Amino acid sequence: MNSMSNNTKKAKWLSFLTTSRFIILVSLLLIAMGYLLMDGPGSTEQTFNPDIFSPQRIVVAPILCLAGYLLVVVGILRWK
Amino acid sequence: MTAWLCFATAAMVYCMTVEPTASLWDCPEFIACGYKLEIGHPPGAPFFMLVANLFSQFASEPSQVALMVNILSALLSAGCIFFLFLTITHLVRKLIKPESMAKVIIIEACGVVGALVYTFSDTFWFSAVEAEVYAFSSFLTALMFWLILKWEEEADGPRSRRWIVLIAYITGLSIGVHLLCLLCLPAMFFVVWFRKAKHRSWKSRFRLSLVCLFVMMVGFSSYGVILIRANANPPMCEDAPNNVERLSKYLGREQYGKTPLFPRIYSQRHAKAYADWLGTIKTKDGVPTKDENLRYFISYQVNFMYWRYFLWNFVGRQNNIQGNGEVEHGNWITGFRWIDDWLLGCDTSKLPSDLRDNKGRNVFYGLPLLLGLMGILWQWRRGREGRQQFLIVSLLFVMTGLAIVVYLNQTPLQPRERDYAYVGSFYAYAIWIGMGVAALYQLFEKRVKKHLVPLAGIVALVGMIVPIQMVSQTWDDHDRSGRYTCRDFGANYLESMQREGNPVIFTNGDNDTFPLWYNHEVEGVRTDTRDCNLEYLNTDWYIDQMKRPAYDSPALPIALRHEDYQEGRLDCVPIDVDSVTIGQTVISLKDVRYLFKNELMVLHMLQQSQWQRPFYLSISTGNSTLSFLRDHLVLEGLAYRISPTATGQRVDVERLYDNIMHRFRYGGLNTKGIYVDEDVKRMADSHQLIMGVLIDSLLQQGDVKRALTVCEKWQHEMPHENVPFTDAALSMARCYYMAGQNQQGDAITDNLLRRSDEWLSWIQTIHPKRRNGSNYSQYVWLQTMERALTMAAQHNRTELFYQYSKSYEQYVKQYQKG
Repeated sequence: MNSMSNNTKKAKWLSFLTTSRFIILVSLLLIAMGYLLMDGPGSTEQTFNPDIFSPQRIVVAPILCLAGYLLVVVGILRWK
Repeated sequence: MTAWLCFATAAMVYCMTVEPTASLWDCPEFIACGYKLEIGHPPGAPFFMLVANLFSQFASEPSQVALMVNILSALLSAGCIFFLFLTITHLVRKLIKPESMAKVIIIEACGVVGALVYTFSDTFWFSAVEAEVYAFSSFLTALMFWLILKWEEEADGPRSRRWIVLIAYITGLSIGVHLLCLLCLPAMFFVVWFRKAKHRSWKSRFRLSLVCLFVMMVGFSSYGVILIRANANPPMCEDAPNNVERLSKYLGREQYGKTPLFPRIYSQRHAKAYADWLGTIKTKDGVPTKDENLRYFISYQVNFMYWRYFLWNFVGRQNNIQGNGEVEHGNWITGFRWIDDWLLGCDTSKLPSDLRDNKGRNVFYGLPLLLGLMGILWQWRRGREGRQQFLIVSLLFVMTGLAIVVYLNQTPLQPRERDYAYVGSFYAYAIWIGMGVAALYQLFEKRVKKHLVPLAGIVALVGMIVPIQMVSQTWDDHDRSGRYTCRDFGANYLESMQREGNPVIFTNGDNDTFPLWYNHEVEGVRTDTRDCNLEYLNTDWYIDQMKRPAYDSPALPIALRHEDYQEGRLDCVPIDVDSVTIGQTVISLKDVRYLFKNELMVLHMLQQSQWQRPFYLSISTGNSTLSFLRDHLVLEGLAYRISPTATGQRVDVERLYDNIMHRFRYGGLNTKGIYVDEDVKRMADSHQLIMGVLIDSLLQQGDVKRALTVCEKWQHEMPHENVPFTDAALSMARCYYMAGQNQQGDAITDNLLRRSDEWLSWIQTIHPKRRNGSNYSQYVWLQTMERALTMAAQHNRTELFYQYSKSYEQYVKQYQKG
């Protein structure tokens, strides 16, 4: 009984998770990760914070975001 | 295959002519925003920033960043050409079936001619070789338009919906580039309307709309970049959109104020400018009548600010100097003398060499326009399908052209030519130009009947003449290779300041601010200094930013709290004192009745710093800017130092000499064949001006030897073949005469006399009714001529003097007659 419902759940999940949706999900994750890495402490009236221009925040983060945004296109094109 | 050929041609042309560093206007700002994810002017371009950021990673050193972002524009523009080819051939293929070899050739030829005409057209090329958002938005528009045609092709297929979803996604993304892209949506709507695809259930339509809305939001989410980065408080953070409320203000461009749709004559500030344009304005109850509004709308907004640009691109352009309606600047021309004489009301065969040799002078004899008209006619007469197509392309043409004109409601005296905003409608017209080839073929097809393949070949070749003739005209004024003026001149402003004490420079406007930002943010030049823009200093968010340190520059000395100067406070304060005293120095406020927030802030900073921190004022600010400080300025380079001890405007000869001779760079202005447009010329003229002042000051000290070295530097760095002399060059002539080098002195005096003579004699040929607009040019050249003649007389250059004195007297008489 239990394993049956587990199986149908799994099947439902699999049918929901088409290639297209999977790709879009991954891209959304990439975008979210990019924004997380972009965030951080800023400059204040007391000090200029050079960390706002650290490679993590202005190189890695935007590239992740951009990769995510471009991957969405692939996901959409896979849509049935 | 042919599409890729078009792409390659465009990409090659644009990469060969791309500017190797930042360009003027907003470009330096966009480059810095992409490279370091800082916040530019509203409404921002976050998706552009992400892509520009990727391209900036390919730079081997910071000085290459600008080039990489420029190349992004070049490639996106080439991509736009690619889709233009596909769009034209798609549309033509539906009107003539590619059933024979001849027709296949004609279809391809339509695509190539249309795409190449657009490649070589003035406005599109301009944006293709600099880091602006217009290349990107053109690309997205072309892509979206092509996608809807793609959908149309397979609308009945099972997977056609993905094209609609993709368009929705790109629509969302495009908001993060430029809102212009949205203007192609109405035309796309009609494509869908005419297609009448297989009926789908309401449920599936509803589902599709939800999906579209979702992906559009995903695309739009690129604004996260703006929100997150604004919270990091980067040195450049326009409008500080660091929370959702401020972000929505930023998106709404509230910084710029609102423009109403009606009336068309609305701006109090421009009352005189409207009157200058219209002559007398009839009013009723104190406001201009409806007729006058209409007259202004048609004559200025529609004709001058739209059709003129359209005709530049497809008929011909007079020169690259911004026009405000006068005969000599920025008009459209045909290239046929008798038409142009009639259009402009002057004798164009007597043009002064300055205008005749202007690289922006491009004539196409109206050929592209003609081809486009033939294309329109042809399309309209190809049955129902043709008329539907015509409606769709027309809608694109009108929405990206005249509709913007209606929306913008521009006042006279715009700071620059605005053709770049209408590039989308020129794209639509290029589609028709491509179709013109098919029209040409049809014209001969019926008569020839046999040998259709060779006929198609010949028509294709004839069509190709049009873009080839165009590029022969437009190459020289779009080839920006070897030009480093924006970068170097920006750096010169910073280098004008002393090395000690973390100086601050007050600037005004775009071209004396953004190049400085670029130098600070991208190349790290003189980060011990600070640029403080006087226009932004009227806003609370900018004052907040000035209170923060940036790189090696400590915070500016502002002791006020945010509440003291927040919006609505200290905006404009009446003044009832005669002077303020800072340290030992009395600054007179005698004729000052009001002080604006930015002026108050400047006085406050001076007061706070007690002359401990050096403050400079850029020479490009007008005399009315900070007028109360005008008696306390010392010229040291491209900026005056605000000095406690100065009385009247003075010159620090040693510092000025050191800056001009050793610190300044001149952007490759001595490269043979370099393209100097109006804005670059204006900035170069600022350098001519201070060099003239320096030579005069040295001569006054009796230091002819060093004055001569300055002359040498001038002639070497800014040869007059590239940067024509202004009357500042007479200082150089004087120096040569005093050094006994009469020949060199004469070369300069004669150059100015000859050009004045050319200008003034040409202005006489202008029809009296239109000559009023040229009063200013006439005045300027008369003054130059007078100064040059005085110079010749003072140094006993009698031959030169008598060669021109007669005609000068005649010009003066004529000028006084009016």
